[in-house]
Amino acid sequence: MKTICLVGNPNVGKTTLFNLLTGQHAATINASGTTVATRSGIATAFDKTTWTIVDMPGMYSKNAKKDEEAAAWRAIDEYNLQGDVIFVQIINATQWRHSLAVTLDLQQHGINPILLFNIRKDDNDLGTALYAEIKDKMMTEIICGDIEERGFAKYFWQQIALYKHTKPPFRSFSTDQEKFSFVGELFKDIDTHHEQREWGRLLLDRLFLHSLFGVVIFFAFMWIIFEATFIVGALPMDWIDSAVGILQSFLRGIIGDGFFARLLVDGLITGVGGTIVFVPNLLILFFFLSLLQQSGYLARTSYIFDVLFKKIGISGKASVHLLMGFGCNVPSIMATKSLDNRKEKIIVAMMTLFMSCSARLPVYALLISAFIPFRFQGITLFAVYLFGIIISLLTGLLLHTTHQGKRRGKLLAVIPRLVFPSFARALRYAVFKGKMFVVRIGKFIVPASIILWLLFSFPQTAVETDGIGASYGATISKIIEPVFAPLGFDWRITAGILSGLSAKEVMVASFAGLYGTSDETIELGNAMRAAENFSLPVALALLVFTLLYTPCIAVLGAIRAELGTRWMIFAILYPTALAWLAAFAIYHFALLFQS
Amino acid sequence: MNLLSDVVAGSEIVVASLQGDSEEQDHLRGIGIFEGGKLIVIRNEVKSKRPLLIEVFGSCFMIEREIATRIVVLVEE
Repeated sequence: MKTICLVGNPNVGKTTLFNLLTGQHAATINASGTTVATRSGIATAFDKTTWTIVDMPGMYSKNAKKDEEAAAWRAIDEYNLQGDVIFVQIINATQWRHSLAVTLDLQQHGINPILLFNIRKDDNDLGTALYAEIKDKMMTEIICGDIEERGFAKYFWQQIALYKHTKPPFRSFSTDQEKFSFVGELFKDIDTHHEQREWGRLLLDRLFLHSLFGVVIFFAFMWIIFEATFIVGALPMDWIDSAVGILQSFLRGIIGDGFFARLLVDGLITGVGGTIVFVPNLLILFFFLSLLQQSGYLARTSYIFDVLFKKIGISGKASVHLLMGFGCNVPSIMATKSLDNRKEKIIVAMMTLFMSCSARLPVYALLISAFIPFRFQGITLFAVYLFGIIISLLTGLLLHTTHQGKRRGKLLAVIPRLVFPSFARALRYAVFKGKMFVVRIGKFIVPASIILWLLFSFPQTAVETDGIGASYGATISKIIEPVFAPLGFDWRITAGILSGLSAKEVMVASFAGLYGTSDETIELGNAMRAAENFSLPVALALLVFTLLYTPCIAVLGAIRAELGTRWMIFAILYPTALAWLAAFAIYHFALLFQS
Repeated sequence: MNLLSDVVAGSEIVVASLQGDSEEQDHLRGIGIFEGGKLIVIRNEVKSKRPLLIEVFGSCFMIEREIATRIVVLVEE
């Protein structure tokens, strides 16, 4: 099987192309250092030939000493020896001069890469004449196009089919200085400086990077996102909720009340329906995060927070890792590979645990929509995320002061140009993330709903006589209940918390099963509010507990892989202890006001 | 001769020497910051502890102030 290796500087679009060609879903973000290890996948071209696609971490120079860059160069050497390999170097057209230094490194190694200029139309197109000049002077093939545009994959495979291997020109450079000077000399008549100096972008950057306004703008963006999550999401949530109720009534009408009918309606559809209601909130969150990352704004948070992060022993570039955690903690923890030293990796990985992942959002949405008045729902969600950020920073400070290690990492990273984000792309990204969430529902919620229903429906005679409290599930939860009793949590909430260990969104399915009624017109939030022992102080304590307590199994696995078993155990015990203390404080504080 | 950390925004400069350890020097050279190379300072709040923004071969880089104190430069007229 033939192979295509995708190489180039950091943050030029290698992983985006890899995902497009292979159909995989590797994490991408508009900032350096997202890909930290070589990955491969299988792709089928339009002529039905199959290819291995290899995605390399970004690199600058053959002389690089950073782990992931050195690993990329080693992998390039290995693939080059195999033969039947096409190297495609992706170039961000706004940073083309820089990229050509890597082209020279590759050519010196006997590799003549195809140069793929990743262009956003009318934004960074260098013009046909310059592409021809680059092709002529670098003596290689060129492809130009927008990787994220529809139809690019077909165009890419057409160009690959036309490609004829050529030997690279003989060029020898002993230092990076010679390489850059050579590129500078080749294109000395072309001025690219104007790209960085456009007044509109400079003005925005002055605002975004301002020491005070920069922080204010960051939190304003966050507040707008969380406010929109509820305001815009309210209507579709109601539609989905009604649709689930209608489906349950309809099925109950035609399949009766037997064992399998109850398993399907009360177990499966209640669990899945209770979770799927929150898909619109997730779509809105990912839509806005996509706008921020496309625009190049997220990469700028490295600059905004560098001074603050210095105080906790990490560099500003950790901000991108932490913000990735709002989506999912797993890729965020895996990406700590790109950080400079072990101490910084540990601090950032442990801080990430409190950057609330999207799987927790359905739980927040359920509790907030049930217990908080509509006009305060957005600000409450914002407060939950902000509390997570504060705990994250305090955890960083704690680890920095108690953990010995090398000095903090150094901030030296490329900053992408500010661009106006595409709403269509953001929508596609949100829909894609929504699909992923629905797949996760299939993977986690469906089996969890069935298991939970079985646990809380048997022994059948006892449950029918004495209610759900006599079930096997309740018996198990009641053993652990005393641990959570000081937080106001009864055995039902205890059961929900335990189910969240597999994946946080399973908590919603649990609550749907535990509090759901046979009357489909009563929505879950109302049923929880009507339940004995489920008051506003309990809901607030549960919100905080869900935010802080031990991460899901996948995150623990990532921590074990990156930092070892000791830190995995720490990631179980420390957040859970913190969650217990914080929930205890909030519960008793809220009780004072309630009374 | 100035340190990069002291150069005001908008200045076009030439790198005179790199003074960090060899690993840091290699990394800087790898991204195009080398003796004799030209840079433009895009943003520098000289009296703050914040990073600098510099343009190197048409790309914009954030560079930590501490690293910038180890880069000696000549400001072009």
